Amino acid sequence: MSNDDLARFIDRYTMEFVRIYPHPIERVWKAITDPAELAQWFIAPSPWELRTGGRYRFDSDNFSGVVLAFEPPRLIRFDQPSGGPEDWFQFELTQVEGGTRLQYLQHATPGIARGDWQTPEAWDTPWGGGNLGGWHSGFEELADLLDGVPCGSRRPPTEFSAIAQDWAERFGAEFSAEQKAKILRELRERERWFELRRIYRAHVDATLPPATGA
Amino acid sequence: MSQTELCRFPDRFTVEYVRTFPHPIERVWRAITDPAEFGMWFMPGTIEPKAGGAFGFAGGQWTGSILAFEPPRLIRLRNAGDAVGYFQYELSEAAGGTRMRFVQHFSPDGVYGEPGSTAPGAGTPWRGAVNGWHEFWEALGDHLDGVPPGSRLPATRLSGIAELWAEKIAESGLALTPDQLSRIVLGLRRRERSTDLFDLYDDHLRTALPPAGSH
Repeated sequence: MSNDDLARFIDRYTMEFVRIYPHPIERVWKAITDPAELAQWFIAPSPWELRTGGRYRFDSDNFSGVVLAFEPPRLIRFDQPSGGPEDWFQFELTQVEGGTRLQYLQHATPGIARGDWQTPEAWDTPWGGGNLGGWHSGFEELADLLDGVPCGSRRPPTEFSAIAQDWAERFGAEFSAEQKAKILRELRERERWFELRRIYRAHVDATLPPATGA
Repeated sequence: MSQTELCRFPDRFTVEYVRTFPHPIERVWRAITDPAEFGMWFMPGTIEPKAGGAFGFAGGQWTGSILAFEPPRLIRLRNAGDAVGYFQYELSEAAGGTRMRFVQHFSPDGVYGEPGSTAPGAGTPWRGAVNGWHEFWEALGDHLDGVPPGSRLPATRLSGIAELWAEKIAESGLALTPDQLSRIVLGLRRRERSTDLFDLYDDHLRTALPPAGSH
């Protein structure tokens, strides 16, 4: 769980995360393309048609479109027409010393106002604390999944999680141990997301290249 | 949720709380002595409504006898095996409602906690107990006003996270009912309040508790 490997802006409209996982490329490929594995570290997709031109949808119609490229076990690219006509994102894997390098790239169509939720400086981009923090958190959980531990279970305890643990021990009698463990992990995940959201708001302010010609 | 109404120590082994509730004395009396009522804000249990009767709280883990029972003004209770200590509720009519005075006394000759402890309130029975009573009076106030205990605690960062989690629960595959979710969120906030009160009373014990040897 590092706050160092923040997303990087290649240009104002292109954002990159790079992670290296100590696992074979086929294993990482499965984690980013298998619906059951996606459900664990990201979002359960439906539909999920793994071929060029196939449809995909994560949790909302705003997060849906078609598969632009599908080249196992190396590349999968998606469009995201709700954002803009040239919006796309992709996962690209390469074998490296000691494992697999994952590069996540997301590109946004320039010049489109993204909505009231966006900060004024980033008005024509989709880069906000919440979505960048969400990806960052997701890639942490992807590491957990690949290493064979429950997603989110390696986040260090906080005062918040101690209170939640205390609650679970005293008043969680109606829930199973498994439910309790999941509730506690999910609460900790939300807390981590709050923290990352703050970090990424500052990161966007500090590193997002300005709009040209403005 | 006032933090100014901390307990007072008339002496090192006696604690006192005073609260005023905007409800008639009979209503407050019932909330304190009727098992169907005190089960909602205190803990499940029974009270035989007469002097000499027995009480049992928390599934029989905490038992004793009723020393005085004078509706709607006074109930005094004594823990089993104790010859000196007691705890009591005194009610009186006050402007705007009912004044409750709660007093708990322990024998100064008792042995409390680990010998040589330097924790706040060491050598007394208060640590972990005085914050608990404070929490119960907050819950009693909520109960009398007809809202779920803890539901009026102000929002915190923790409760914001818990509420956000509850909103997003549909994504998680955990099959929890809305009622369960709201109880989890409320329960977490109450645990947080409990933790805060524990810390608050540690400070209070350091400054307000009369030192050993004083009378």
